[in-house]
Amino acid sequence: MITIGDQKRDVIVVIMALLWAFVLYAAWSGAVNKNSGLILCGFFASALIVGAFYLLGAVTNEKMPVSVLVYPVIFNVVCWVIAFVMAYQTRGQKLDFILGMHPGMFGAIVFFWIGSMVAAAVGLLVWFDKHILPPDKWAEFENEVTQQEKLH
Amino acid sequence: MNEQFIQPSPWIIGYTIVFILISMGIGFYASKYAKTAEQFFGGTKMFGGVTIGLASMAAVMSAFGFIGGPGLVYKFGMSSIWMTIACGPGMAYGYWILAKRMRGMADVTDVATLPDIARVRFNSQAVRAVLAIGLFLAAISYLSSQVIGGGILMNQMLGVSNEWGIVIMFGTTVAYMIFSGMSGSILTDAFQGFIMLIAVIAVLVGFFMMTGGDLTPIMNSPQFGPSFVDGFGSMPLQAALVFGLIFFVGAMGQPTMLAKMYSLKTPQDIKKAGVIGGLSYGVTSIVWILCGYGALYIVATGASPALAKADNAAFLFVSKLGGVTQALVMAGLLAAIVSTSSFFISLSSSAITRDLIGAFGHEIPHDKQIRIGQILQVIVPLIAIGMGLWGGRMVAILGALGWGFFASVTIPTFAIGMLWKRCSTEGILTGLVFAVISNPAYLILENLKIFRFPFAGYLFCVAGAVVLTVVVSLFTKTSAGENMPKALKPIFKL
Repeated sequence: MITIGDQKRDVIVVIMALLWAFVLYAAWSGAVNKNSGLILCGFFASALIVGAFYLLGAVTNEKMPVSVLVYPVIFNVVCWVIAFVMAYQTRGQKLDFILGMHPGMFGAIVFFWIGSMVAAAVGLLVWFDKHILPPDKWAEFENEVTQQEKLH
Repeated sequence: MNEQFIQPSPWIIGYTIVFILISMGIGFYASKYAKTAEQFFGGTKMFGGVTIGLASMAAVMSAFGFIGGPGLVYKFGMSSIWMTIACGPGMAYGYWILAKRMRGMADVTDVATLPDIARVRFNSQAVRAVLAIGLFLAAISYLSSQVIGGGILMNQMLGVSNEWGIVIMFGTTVAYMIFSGMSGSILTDAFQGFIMLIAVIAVLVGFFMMTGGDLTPIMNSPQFGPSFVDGFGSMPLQAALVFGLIFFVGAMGQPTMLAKMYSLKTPQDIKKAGVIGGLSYGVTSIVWILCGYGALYIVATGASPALAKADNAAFLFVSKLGGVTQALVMAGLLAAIVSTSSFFISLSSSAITRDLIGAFGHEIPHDKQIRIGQILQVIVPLIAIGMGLWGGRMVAILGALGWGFFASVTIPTFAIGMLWKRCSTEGILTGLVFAVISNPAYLILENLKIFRFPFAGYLFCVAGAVVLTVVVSLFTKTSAGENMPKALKPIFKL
C-alpha cells in the first residue's frame, strides 16, 4: 500500500503544473522551430499529466494499493507512450495495413483509445468496490457528515 | 439553403416525428421529479448509473461530434479523431478521479449547480460569480453552435428551411424543459443516447458494406494520400498533442459530465455511470470516425466529386445508405444536438437564476427560483437562436468557446480544487479570471488576424489557468488546508 499524504500531494500538483507548462512550451516552441522531437516530448509529458491526476484521484483516505498503481495508472501511461511512438514513427508513410489500419492509426486506436478505455472503464469495474469506494468508506463518510451541520 | 444530400423520405420524417414525440413525452413525465430548486436545476441525487451514464454521453456528444467531426476527418484525416478517442475513456477517467468527491458534496451541502459546489469549497461568492459568468458565456456559445448545426440537420431531414428547422427543434425542446428543467434534460438525454447508439449500428453496417473496411483507396488517392490515414493526420503534429490531452483530461471538466456526478442516486452508481458513459461515448465515436472516412472513401473512389464544404461529409456518407439506415443515422444526429441543447439551456438559466444573482447578495427564494428559471429557459434559447442566425463574426468567435473554455474554467476549480486541500480561494480566483479573459481574448485576436497560436489556443488557457492556480495557491491560504470549513474535511478522506 502506498501512502499519498498532503505533502506528497503538494509535490504531485507542483510537478503536474510544471508538466502543463512544459506541454505548452513543447507545442509552441516545437511548432515555431519545427522541432518534432520536442513535440513528441510534449506527448510524453501529457501521458504523465494523466498519471498525476490518477495519483491524486484514485486514492482513498491517502492510500493507494500497488495493484492500482500498476493498473490503471502505469498501464495507461505506457499505452499512451506506445501509441505516440507508433504514430510518430510511421507518420506520412505508405505502409502495409494492420487489421485494415495504417500502423500509426492502429497505434492510436488500439493503444490510445482502447488502452485508455481498458484502463479507465474496465479499471472502474475491477477496482471500484474494493479500492475506489469500498462501502465501509462511504458509510464512514456518511457517519461523519451526519454528525455535523449541513453547509449552506 | 444548403446543398441537399438527403431526400426526406417517409422513413426519415416518420422516425423523426416519433423521436420528437417520445422525447417530449419523457420530458413532460420528468416534471414530476422537478419540484424543488435542487431537482429542477440539478436533478440532485435522483438518477441511477445507467441513466446518468447514457445522459452524460448524449450531452457530451453534440452537433460538433456528429457533423463537425466527420467534416474534420474529411479535411485532415486522423488529426481530429484524437479528440473523440480521448473523450470516451476521458469520461470514465473523470468518474475515477472526481465523482466520489463531487457526489459527496451533495451530502455536505445543498447542491443544484456547479457554482454551488465552488462557493462552498472556496467559501467565496466571487468564485461563484466568476464561475457562473464563465459557464453562462460558454453555454450560450455552445447553444449558438447547436442552433446552426440543428438548422442544417433539420433542413436535410425534413426539407424545411434552416429557420423553420430551428423553430421545430428548439420549440419542442423548450416545451418540455420549462416543466422539468435538468431532471427532464437528464431523462430525455438518456433516451436520446439510446437513439444515438442505434445510429452507431447503422453507421457500422453501412460503412463496412460500402468500403469492406478497406482504406487503401484513400492512401493511394492523389487527392488525399498517406497523411489522411496515418496516426496523426494532415494537421501539424502539435494538433494531436493538444487534442489528445485537452479532450482526455478536459472530459472531466465538462459541465455535461461534472453536473451529472451529483445527480447520482447512490455512490455505487458511480461505477455504472463511469463505465456506461465512457463505453457508450467510445462507441458513438464510431460515427465521427466512420462517417468521415466513409466520405473520404466515396470521394477517393470517384463515387462523388470532392465536397465544397467539409461539414457536409456526414451527409454525403449517409446519402449513400439505404432508406431505413438513413432514418436511423439522421435521428441519431438529431438526438446528439437536442440532448446537448437541453443540457445547456438548463445550465445557462441556472447560472443566472441561482448563481449570478445569488453571488451579488440577492438569493432568490427557492420557490421563486423555479419560476424565474422557467422564464429564462425561454429567453436563453431565443438569445442563442438570435446569435446563431444573425451573430456574424461574434458567433464565429463565441462559437469556438466550447470544450477548451469549460476545461480551463472547471479543471482548476474542481479537478484541482477538490483533489488538493492546499488549493486556495486566491489561487482559484486567479485561474478563473485568467480563463474567462484569455479564452475570448485569443479568439478575438485570431479572428481579427492580429495573433494566432501555432496550436489550438485553448491549450494556453487551460495550462495557464492550472499553473496560475497552483502557483498562487502555494503562497496563499484562504479556504486552503486547515482553513477549509471543517464540514468539508470528510470529503478529502474519500
